[in-house]
Amino acid sequence: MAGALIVGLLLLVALLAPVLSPYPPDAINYRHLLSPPSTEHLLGTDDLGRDILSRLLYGAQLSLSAGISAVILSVLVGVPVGLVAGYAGGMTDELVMRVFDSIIALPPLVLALTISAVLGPGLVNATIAIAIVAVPTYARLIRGQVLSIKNNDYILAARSVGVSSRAVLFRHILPNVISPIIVQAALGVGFAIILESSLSFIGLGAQPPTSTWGSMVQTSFQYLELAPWFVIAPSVAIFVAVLGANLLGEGLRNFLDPNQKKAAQKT
Amino acid sequence: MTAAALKIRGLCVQIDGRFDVVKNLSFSVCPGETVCLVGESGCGKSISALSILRLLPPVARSVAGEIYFNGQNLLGLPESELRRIRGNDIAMIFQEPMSSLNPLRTIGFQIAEVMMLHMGWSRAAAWARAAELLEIVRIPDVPQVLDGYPHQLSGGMRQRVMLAMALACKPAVILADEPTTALDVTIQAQITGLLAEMQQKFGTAIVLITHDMGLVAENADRVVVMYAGRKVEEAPVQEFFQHPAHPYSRGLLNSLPQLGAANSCGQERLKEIPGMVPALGDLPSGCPFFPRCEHSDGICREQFPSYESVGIDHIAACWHPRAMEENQQ
Repeated sequence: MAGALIVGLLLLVALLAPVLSPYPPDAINYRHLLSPPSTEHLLGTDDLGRDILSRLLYGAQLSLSAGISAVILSVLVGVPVGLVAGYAGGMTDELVMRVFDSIIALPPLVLALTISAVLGPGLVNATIAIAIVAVPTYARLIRGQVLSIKNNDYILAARSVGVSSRAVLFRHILPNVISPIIVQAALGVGFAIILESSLSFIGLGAQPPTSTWGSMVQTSFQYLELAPWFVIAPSVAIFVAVLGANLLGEGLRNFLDPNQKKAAQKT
Repeated sequence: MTAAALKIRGLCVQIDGRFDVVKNLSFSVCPGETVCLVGESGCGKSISALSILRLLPPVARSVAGEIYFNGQNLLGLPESELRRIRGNDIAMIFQEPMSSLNPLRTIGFQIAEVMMLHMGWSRAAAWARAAELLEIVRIPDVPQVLDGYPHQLSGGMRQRVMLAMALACKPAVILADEPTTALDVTIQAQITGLLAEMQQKFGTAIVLITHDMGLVAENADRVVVMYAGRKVEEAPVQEFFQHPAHPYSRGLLNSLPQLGAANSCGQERLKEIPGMVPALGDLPSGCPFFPRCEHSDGICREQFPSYESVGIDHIAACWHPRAMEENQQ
């Protein structure tokens, strides 16, 4: 599982940032502005002479936690809503799904941009905006699953012994529908990291002096000709994180879905 | 006669608000008694059972009638009170043991859940009782089964687990919807034997839904025959097999293969009831059976017959129950 390895490594690096960083991320050094990679500064320095490697490591903390908490937030909202909509059916279902359809109809980046602009710039607001954009994905996914299993005999049997609707939903239906959500959540982390980077790039995410990978890319853009190494480091970090999340998602899918597993073995 | 454990009066169920799947159904079950609901597929047997616990699928709705249990009309109860009755006072066993257990929950959890719900027992107490119940329904290797999942059990074993779940709270009534249809004959006999044993022990009233006449003969005290959503005959089991009054009942019994009846192998064709069950959308007016009935005449076309007594505890809805018997002789 390459995905798990990459994601695990990234999380470890982010957690150990204070130990691993050679310099404090905010230490300004006017004698080394935009210096190229050297033994002193492995990835060079930025426009204020700050060590890019250190900023990258600390940025990992913010980028990853923003991506992960956005996904957790949208799962926490989307899953219960989708469960209830799928189980209740009728008007409730119609109403909820039409609202979500209208959210999905908008391009995710544009929507996230609008929401975080309305909420005001900042990493927390950007995270909330990303979560809102992603909620319908989870709600729709779980609703479809609920629809396909709610007419099973064992659901009727559970109801026939007097289990309440809420208990049927959470004790009997949820365990049967959760595995695609786990897969989707892993894939969603990659998507959330991209969105967060995009928002930070535009300036709606993390505000200086803290920086995420996205805002580092943005700063580096102004010095593209002078210091090309500056843009490469955070871009590669984003790339690796998203790749890791996607690989993890796919690995989980193969692991959790017996049909996929067989198909994978055949090829 | 003792007071009925469950009494159904004039139950009507509609699908899509248009089609009558059950019309004016009345019957009752006494404690310790087994009533068999028989009829072809789609005649409203299962729907009737589901409507007793108000578990009808969303398209179906019971539009009239009363279902009395313990002096309360189940159709008028709020959902929360009904939930206390489900599984506790009235339990249900389903046809398909293969799909009636949650694949992701252990057997122990599923049995214990019933008792934790209704008896308010702790998890440990409920699990201990679940183990006892599995012993009662003669499941070998109980501890292993308790922690096991449904896919590890065979169909017969799963139906025993369902039976254990149904018995968990010692319900007054068990609704068994073709509990043995999916099982082979020897397992069938074991399951019905267990049911009968439990009935004797606890005085449970059983509504057994089936189309297996052998099962009826062995288990029923009384028989209710349904056709196209209506009760067409009700009789004690002996009487039913000896003097079926409704032409449909007679047809059902005649269509059974009889050992040694054919002169030699397969020379005599099995008797059948001509025609088909009418579609729900175009039930004929009058008696629903008249297009397939050899005794039908003008009045059968126009009016559904009233329930007339044709013997002791024996009623039938037919304009010509006697004509039939005379014909027979």
